[in-house]
Amino acid sequence: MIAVRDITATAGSKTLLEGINAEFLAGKMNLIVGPNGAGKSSLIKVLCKQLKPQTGSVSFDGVDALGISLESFAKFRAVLSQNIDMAFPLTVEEVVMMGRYPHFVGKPGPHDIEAVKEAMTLFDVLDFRDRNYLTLSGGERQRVHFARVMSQIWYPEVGKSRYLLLDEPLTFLDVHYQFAFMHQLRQLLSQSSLVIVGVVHDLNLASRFADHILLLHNGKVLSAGVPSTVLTAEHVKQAFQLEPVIYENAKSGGRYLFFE
Amino acid sequence: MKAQSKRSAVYLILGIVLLLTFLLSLKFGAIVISLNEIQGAIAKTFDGSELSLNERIFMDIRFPRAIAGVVVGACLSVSGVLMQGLFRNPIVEPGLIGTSSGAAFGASLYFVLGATFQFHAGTWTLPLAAAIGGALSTALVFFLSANRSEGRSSVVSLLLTGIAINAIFLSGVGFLSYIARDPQARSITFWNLGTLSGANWNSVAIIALVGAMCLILGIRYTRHLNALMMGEYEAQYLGINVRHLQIVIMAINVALIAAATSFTGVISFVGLVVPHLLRLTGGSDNRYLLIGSALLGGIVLSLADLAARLLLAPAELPIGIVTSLVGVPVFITLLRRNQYYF
Repeated sequence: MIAVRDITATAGSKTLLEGINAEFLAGKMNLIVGPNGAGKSSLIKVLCKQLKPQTGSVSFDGVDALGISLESFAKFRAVLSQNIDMAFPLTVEEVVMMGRYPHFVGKPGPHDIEAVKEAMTLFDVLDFRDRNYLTLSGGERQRVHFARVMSQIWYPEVGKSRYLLLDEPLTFLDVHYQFAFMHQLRQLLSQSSLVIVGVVHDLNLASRFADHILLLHNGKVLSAGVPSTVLTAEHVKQAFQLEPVIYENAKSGGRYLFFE
Repeated sequence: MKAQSKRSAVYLILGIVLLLTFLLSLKFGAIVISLNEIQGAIAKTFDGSELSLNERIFMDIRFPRAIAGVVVGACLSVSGVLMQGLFRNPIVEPGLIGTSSGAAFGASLYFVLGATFQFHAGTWTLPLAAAIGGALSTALVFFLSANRSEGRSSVVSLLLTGIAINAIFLSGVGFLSYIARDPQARSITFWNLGTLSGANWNSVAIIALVGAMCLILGIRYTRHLNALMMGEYEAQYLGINVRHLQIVIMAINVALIAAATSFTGVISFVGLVVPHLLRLTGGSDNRYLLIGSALLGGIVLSLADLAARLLLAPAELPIGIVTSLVGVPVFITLLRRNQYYF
């Protein structure tokens, strides 16, 4: 579980986050939504140790995330970003192997090779393991990075959670890949001890896949909870200044937002 | 693994070619030395008897010079790999990012003003002055061209900053040549064009020692540099302290450039061409590039030195001119083929 307590972060005179409190539980799809400038990326940056908050604390199962070294943090927490640009041509397998860097010194051990192979199988990139990463399409590249970050936290440790943070990883992908990745994430959640926290732009994607939504507005938490209580017409209007039309599919229980 | 065995094969081939080049480099030059004389020179040096003229030439000049070709080439190439990894850019080269001009400025300062200011620390003074100059100019280019939001220097800002910093330091060198007396001015010119003709056992030992230490240290950071290919943020997510990495790599690089250039002067484009050739053969993994570059760099510079010795024999061409003639076309090719890297 990730516990965020009273986080306040500023950049110069601008307040990015103000008194944020939140909890993200294991086994749940925790998604952060909100308009541009609401503080979504700032919050995920705090969780990733990219942004140091002025006050407050972040703990990963009781481990103080602000005090821990990058090196130990990388052993149980992986981050998937959007649109990663690679400076030199590497093979797919070499990129996925980077996920294991925090776990070995010198040469990869059998454990590392195994994890890389299984992660490549899971995300269906095993067939082009020897291909040059730079020749892949956007969707294929993101599959490679999915495999990489999962190989980083491949092996669960007894009594400890693993954390996957998503920094808008679906932004540049088409709807096919967006759904495919969300389904895969849901499947991963069925494994024990995985905590997923992610930023998404698309409210319908959040509504469709989230167990828990944190809606941010002006650096504060506007609402938190299950999609049906967070993504109400009133909250959405307040945050986005747009009146949504909400359609509920009684049969599937799906909830969709439209804007006119 | 397939890639692994291919790399071992490349190392083996490079090792053999390096040995052959080294032998050629021992034999040919202004004077061709026969195998008998080589054997004789080595045997007589061990039992302490008198050497013939050719044997003396071999032992005091040719042998250290051949080794200098190998170790200086290795140092320059390893430095190229490290800096390209750090800047995340394959066109980075000591001559383009200010290292060489800074080192040349440091060295000129020592040639012209060293005596005036009683600035002296024995054999190490020149390398030290070059190292400080090189470190200063490289750090300037690195920090002035870096785009913090992307965490990567774009090619344009890198090259433009490099031009600006080069202009400042080369003006400095020009000014020092202008006020220098004749022998000092000649030292500066010699230094800016590069030559291995001054190699002796003492300098070769220093370069080899520094080079070996830097290579071993560099290999420990190859995974860090691989991760840095994805950018500073992604590297940090993999547990890498990027600031620490930048400082270590800069320090290794300055040591390499200072060691390589202090006794031979500025030899450009080796650090650019060698890693590029290796990338064509087996990918961009930095561990492979580093070890491969040490070998291929030795080959390339030994060949360049052979050309420098033989083209105008018995006179000599400065080796920096030879490497530039070969390096510039490669550099232009890299700039024009921009689909992947930039």
